[in-house]
Amino acid sequence: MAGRSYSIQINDQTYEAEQGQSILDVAASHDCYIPHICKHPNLQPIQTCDTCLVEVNGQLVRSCATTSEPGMIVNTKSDFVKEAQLEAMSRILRNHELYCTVCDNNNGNCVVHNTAEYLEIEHQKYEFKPKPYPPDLSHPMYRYEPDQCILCGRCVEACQDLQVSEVLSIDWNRENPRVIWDNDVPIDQSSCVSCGHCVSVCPCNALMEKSMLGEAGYMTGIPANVLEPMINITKEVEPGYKEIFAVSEIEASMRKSRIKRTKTVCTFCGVGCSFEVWTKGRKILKIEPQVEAPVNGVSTCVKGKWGWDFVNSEERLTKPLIRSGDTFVETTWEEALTFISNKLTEIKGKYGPDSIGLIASSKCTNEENYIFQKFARAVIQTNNVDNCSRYCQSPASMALMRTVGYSGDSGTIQDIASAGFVLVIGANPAESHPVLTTRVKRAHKLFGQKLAVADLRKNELAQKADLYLHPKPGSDLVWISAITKYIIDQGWQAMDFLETRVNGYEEYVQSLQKFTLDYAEEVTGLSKEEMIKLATMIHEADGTCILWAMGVTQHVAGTDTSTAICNLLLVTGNFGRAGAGAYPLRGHNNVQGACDFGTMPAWYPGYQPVQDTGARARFEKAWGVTLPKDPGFNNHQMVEGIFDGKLKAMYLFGEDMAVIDSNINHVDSAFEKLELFVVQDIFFTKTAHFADVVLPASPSLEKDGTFVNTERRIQRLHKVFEPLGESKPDWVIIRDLANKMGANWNYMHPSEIMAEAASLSPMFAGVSYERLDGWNSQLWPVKPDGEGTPLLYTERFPFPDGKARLIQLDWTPPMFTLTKEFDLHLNNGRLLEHFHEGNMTYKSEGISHKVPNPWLEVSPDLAVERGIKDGALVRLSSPYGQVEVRVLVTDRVKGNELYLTMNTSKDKQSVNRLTSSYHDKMTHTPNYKEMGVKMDILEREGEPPLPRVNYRFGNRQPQFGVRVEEKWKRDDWISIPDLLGTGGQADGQSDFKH
Amino acid sequence: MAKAISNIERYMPSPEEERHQAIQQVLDAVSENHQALITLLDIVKELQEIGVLDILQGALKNRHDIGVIAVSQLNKPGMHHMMKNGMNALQFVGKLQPDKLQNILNAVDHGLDRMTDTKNDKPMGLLGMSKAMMEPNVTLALSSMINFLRGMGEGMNHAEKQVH
Repeated sequence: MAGRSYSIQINDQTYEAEQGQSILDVAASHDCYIPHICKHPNLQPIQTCDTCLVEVNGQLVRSCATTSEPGMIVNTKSDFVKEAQLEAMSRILRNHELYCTVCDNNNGNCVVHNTAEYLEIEHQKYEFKPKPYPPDLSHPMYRYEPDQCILCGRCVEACQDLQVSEVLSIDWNRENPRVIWDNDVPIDQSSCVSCGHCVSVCPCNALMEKSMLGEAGYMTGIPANVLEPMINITKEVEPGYKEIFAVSEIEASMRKSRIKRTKTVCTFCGVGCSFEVWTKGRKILKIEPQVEAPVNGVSTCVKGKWGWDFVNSEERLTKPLIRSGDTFVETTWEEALTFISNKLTEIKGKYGPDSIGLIASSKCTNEENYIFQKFARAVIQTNNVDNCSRYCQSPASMALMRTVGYSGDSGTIQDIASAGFVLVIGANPAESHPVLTTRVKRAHKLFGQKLAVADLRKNELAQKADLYLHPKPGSDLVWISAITKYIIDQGWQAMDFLETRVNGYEEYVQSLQKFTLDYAEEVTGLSKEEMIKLATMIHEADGTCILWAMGVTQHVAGTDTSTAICNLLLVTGNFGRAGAGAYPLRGHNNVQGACDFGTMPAWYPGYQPVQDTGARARFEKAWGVTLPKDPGFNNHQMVEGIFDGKLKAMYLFGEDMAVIDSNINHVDSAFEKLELFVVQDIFFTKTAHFADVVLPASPSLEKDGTFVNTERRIQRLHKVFEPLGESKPDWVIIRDLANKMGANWNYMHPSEIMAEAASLSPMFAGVSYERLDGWNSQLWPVKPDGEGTPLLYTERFPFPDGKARLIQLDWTPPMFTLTKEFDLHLNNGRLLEHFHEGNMTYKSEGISHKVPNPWLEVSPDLAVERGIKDGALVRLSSPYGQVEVRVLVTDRVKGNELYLTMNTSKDKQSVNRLTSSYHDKMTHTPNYKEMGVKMDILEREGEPPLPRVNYRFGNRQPQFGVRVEEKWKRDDWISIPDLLGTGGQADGQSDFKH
Repeated sequence: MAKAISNIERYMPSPEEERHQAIQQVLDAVSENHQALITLLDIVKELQEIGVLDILQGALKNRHDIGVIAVSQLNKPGMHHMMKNGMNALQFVGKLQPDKLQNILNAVDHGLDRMTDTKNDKPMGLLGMSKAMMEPNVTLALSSMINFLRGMGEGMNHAEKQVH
């Protein structure tokens, strides 16, 4: 990317330019403003607006699409350029009525407004004509108003080439072009995934969040019969646009005092998107992503953009509750904390500190996880503290720690985007990690990145992949090892890398003997050709990234399979270089941070073992207490401990364990045996039903703190609202309880907790709130001077000798075989629209409109065999329980493999009524993905569980960008240089290529 | 031995309690701002006495109807002209160079003085007029007027060609 640099001249100033930079980018990087509307920093040049025309060698060129050249002389201010830019702006205003003061987009950042104002446009040169289309209000979250649409194509470029949903296009061939969805259907019925990209990049008010309409401006809520004449008066009497702009500017600055903009970090997956939340009082006006956001830029997904209504839900807990007989009674904080404190002290005295188990939340902040493990270790005096990574990512973490040393992604989202080859195993990132996946889809579509997917389901990414593999469930370790062996047999291994940076190569090669292609073919069901093709793709690629998730980890051999992935990457030299590495996709916003900050039974913050006397002594000194020496129980062991009579009390926050743990009938009966169960949450969850005390917590929008995303990036979230009712941020509750129990902690702000954590963990040495201000972020390990590590292992692996380790493996077959009774394989997982079990996202009306229920995916073959149709009601039974769900027949699944979505907390539909308590042998992560079930048909057909307005039924229209060439071919199109009689290239010929 | 339960007995403040709480909040605010409130009450009293409050009350209660009437009155060609002319006139004044205008206005003022000077009020014959045409001051004023007409003509010509 970084080529040579040279200088160019813009308006007699000399500027440094990088090879390949456009004139506009060179100017922008030196704060030299050239007007532009259709060009957006996160998008490719679009070339529809022509307002960025500049003069080069006497010719007019588009600065967005013209590459700078050494010694180029550019003029952006001559009369000639000004005339051309004015003509371009006039053409835009033919499609857009300026009634800014009564427009909800007049918030100081309207690109059309600001550009027109900069160009000092005085009058409408071409008459504004409404387009013959009504506004499209069909979608629950946003609207399209064709009359205001300037046809710049930003939305199309974003949809086609950044989000790569390929829904939007502009139909240039009709008399009045407009943006269309799919093949011109109402938005709600299209394949639109509601990610919000189009709305976020729209430079005016054509695409707008419905939550903004009539809310943002002082006068935008005026009824139509007053507003329309007002707009008319403005148009009739307007002396010129200058005066209108003056008024609208005043109005826009008045809005600043009542619309608050707060940066936060999303909580709906581990990608770590950050954005501004725009609020008026407690009303959320919109989510406004910004180019400065380090991970996502302007990208969001449906949940991040629209999923926040839960914050103001009537169902929020606002007062502490105490169980009294068969009801919960509202109480005061004083009473609730006194009760818990007394009870914990009593149990601790009676049964010892290890009779108490504590479960932390991967949804809460680093500071809350830190203070919680400190509470467990220093106040309760137990290492029985864990978090929900136990349910998902512990096997990946364990595999990374034993092969390459750090439990985190090797690099950043930029490395994934720039990899030559991306291999996705057992993951559906297009739905579970949508924004990260946009970068893969974009690189694959535009920049020649190769893509392969191995998954039971032909998910969205699998449909786009160059190679899709469908191995038998639980057999991944075998084919991964087989292609590793094949690569070595071909002599394709990275010998230099292995010799200088890796231990155990010879022994490892020996251990691979068994994994021949023939053996793999037999075990996995993949053909030798498929495996050879995959091995060849890795061999030929300039950098391979492997992305994996629950399809790998939630098996009895989850750690081993994750290790096999690391082995493959080591053998091929894909660590410690850009555009390569291991990327276990963290599922929750702070599953990485919860582990990093020590809510783990065997580790203090920063992965310092509790058994390490040096580390323990450091924490003992800092905290002024003696700490327990042995690792404590993990989640799984806590549940078993309850049955064994070892565990008597549990304290859990921000985790709906009674829904998301496997074999929940078993877990439920464990909860019933506890002497004390404290649940701290924002909602009255299923888990809370078992509690003795329920404490009302505050969600991310009501607190300050930090999260660590899947890249190991620490990001700051700022408080948007005050806590609702009497709810409190989790760290405040834990601090107050600790003090009730005599801890005497004085934390007044999370920054103080972070400062303490940083001082005790070398890994976070230079982490501080000052350095994390605004859009700044830090990737651990962070040196004392604040310098982070975007790419790991460039010089050494964090082992005493600096070398990575190849681990010898054998295959453990999955813990299920299809039997005559349980004859169908059950897979399960997340879906795009809902977060996890849906406690939060069902509160958004728009999201529930798109996905109101869970569903069971059944293959067309199986549907025919069993004689069922879409909407059929079936009962699934396993040895552990049963559910009743409606069927969706789809070719995403094959043969006898079922897929049940997990977006429900209803007893009769929860997949974990069916799953077992078997688990990964090393980390105790449940084998959620290994289950045989029986299917009984209750109704052969019925109301389909997924409404027709869901994107999965849409009709995508892939194309490259907005196809501006078709605009230039129109009879009514004259290039501006031609019009001005100057010649030049504004007919669209430029050196820009997709 | 805690079975799952989902009943919550919420503490519902009685209407009395809610009213009491609200009144307490108001009283707290009053005591904090008593000086400002006393001044405000005095102003309100004056407004009440001269009837302004009645007018405001009527207008607010019927704001939607009044709004519709007002904008529909304003949204008529005559009103458009008035507003536009008003703004044009303001713009015209804004365009004038103050020092030039001052010179001309001073000259006009001087001219008015001469015009109203009683010593000069006897009728001037044709001969007198042609003699006056020879005076440098009169020539200067006349040629200025002709130049003004010239410029205005140019402006008119230009305006005809302009397309909106």
